[in-house]
Amino acid sequence: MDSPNAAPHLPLELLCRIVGYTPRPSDLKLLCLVSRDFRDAATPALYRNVVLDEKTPRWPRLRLGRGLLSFANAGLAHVRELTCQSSQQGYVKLLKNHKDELQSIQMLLQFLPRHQLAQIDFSTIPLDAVTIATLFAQQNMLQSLALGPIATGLNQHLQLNVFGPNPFNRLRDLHLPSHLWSRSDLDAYSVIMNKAPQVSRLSVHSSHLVEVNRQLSQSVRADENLIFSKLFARDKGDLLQHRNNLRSLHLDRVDVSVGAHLLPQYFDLCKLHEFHLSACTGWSSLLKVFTACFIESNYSLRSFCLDLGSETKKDAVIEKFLSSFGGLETLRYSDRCFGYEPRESLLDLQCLDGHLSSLKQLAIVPGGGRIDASPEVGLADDFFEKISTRCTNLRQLGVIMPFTSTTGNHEDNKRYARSLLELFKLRNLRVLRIFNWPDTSTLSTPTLSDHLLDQIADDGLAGELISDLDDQMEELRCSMVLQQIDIFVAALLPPAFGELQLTHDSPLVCFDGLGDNRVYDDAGLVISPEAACYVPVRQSDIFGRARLMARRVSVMEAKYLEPENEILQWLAG
Amino acid sequence: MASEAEQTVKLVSSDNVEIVTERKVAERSMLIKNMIEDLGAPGEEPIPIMNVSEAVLRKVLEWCTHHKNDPAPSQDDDADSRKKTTDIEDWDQKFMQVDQEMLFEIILAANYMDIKALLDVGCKTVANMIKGKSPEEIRKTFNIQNDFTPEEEDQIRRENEWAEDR
Repeated sequence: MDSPNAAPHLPLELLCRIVGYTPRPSDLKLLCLVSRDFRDAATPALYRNVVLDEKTPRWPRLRLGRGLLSFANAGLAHVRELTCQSSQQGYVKLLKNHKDELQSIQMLLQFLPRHQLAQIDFSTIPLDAVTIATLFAQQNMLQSLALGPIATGLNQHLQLNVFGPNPFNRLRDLHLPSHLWSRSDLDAYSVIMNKAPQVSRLSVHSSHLVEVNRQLSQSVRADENLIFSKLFARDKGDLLQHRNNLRSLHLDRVDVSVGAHLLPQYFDLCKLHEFHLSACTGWSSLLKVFTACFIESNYSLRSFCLDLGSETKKDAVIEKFLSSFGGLETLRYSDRCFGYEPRESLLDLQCLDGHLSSLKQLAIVPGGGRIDASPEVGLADDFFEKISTRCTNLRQLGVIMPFTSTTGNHEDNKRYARSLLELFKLRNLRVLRIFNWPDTSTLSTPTLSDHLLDQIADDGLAGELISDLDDQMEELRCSMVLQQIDIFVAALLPPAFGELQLTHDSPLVCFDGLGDNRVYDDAGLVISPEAACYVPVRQSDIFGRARLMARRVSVMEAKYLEPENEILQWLAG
Repeated sequence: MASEAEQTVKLVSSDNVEIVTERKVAERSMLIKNMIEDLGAPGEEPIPIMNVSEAVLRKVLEWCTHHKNDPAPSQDDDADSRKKTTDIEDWDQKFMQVDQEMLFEIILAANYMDIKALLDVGCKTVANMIKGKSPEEIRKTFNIQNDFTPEEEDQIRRENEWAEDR
């Protein structure tokens, strides 16, 4: 019975609207337990995107009739996006090491209603024939597909449509795995591409194509255009047909040095909206091909990312390419593109002139160089000021902070704080991610002294205790770093909105690379879980004047607070 | 005839109270806007707002008065650019500091009167009250009866276990 002062009953439609503002699965999960009404409203949202990874209890050992695979689980009818991640680090070559994952995926696929999945990401799991067959026979509404290596010779089956109606008919987004195990694996993807006329977004990562299989490596060397011809050529007799739908191309560690000039045979470069080039051998010849096309006809490129991999080069080709067109909305640029010669190579924004006013996302990211190699990281002194006056549409910005110590040189800190303040003048800025700050190498942090260690050993304490202590010290060190950032932010944000008298919202600010500057390892742009994010909180002081404070939140929370931002979502590779 | 800016309209609440307000204010409600366009002669004929009581209607009109000069909502607002962020303007935040019954009544009224911006503010306010709370706390906050049996509750908990800590 309702008590007399019960809140009015909200119809399901309104509950769903409220649920729409609580996107976090952990919140949705609790909402399902409130009442039947709330369960009905929250279940579809909770199940829309199912992610099973190392954080998932009982993954990868799902059991039929239990938990997620309960026979009465009504949520399964709402799954549209499914991500299953391997519990192994990297690919393990033997399929038997993925037995549990494959079995769980097969059960899950058999349990889900047919033809309802739009997006699948199994990219970290090598797939066997049974799993592939189950997937393609059960789901033919796929729009986005990311599979691991296809460890089975399925080409003929794929070719012959044994899985029923073409499951790739609606496919728009295809990711190739970072390992291809054999020539027949590449062939399988070639068949999929051929059966997917609508693909508009293609990501090719082939970092290990050459390493894994010697035979493949030889054939690739013999015909360096192999990947392009396999993926882009359309099987229509001898006539080469353009892939008119291709709008987005991501190339990662692909050797384009020989095939670059052939690319325009397969599709119209000027129709691309998105072009991401990462650690590709021969990138400069590819950029020259693009430059030539852009000068000749109308381009449509809106998003460009360039990462030179291990090369460090300030190159006229890049500048020429960027000057050959305008109107970019997204630009991600590795600091290695400026070279590391101090001063001489400061990023001037000249070649970006045609893009500054249209940019919505700009990131100057660390390219993975050695820390001592780039004392000033190539940002000119007035860089921030130029950005804040000219990039008025900027919504997301990622920049590198120069290597300063938080405790060492206060003058430097003040200088950078002042430069940062400039960025707060950007009206539309929602997220500011600062890579690689602070450098804590000079921060005096507690370590266990040898004397203490000797004493502990004398006392006969076990080794685990010492490692426990080490962990605690690490935690203490992290909390000290966080405190330093807290102080920096507390000194930064309020003046930004007090003295500058700004009326617009402050962006969410995220400091990454805590501890040992781990942004500078291979993990690249993956945000570390320890990163410190600050959300602006408006409060009134005792006189009722609005004041801006900053509240520290976890990365996870920040992602849900700013779900549209990509700068926090970037993953490696 | 008065210019559109000075025109007033008469609204009648569910408990039969007449409220006169500026046409511009009332037209934040798409329901009223459409009615005025259909009726043709604004100000003469009173417009019945059948599902909304006087107290709630006055509160809703207070919001409409403050927001009367906001730009009209664009058509594609609902589609891709629908922001999930929960920041709420200062004034709106204060406006929503009412007891729960009123908060829910405002949401229902905004839905009925088709005032999307107010509906969003209301839903965001409720969403903020929900976040990070346990089911028991949510029930207590909104005075909701737990209509699950312990077995059902257990079953749901197990089914949704996969969504741990995200």
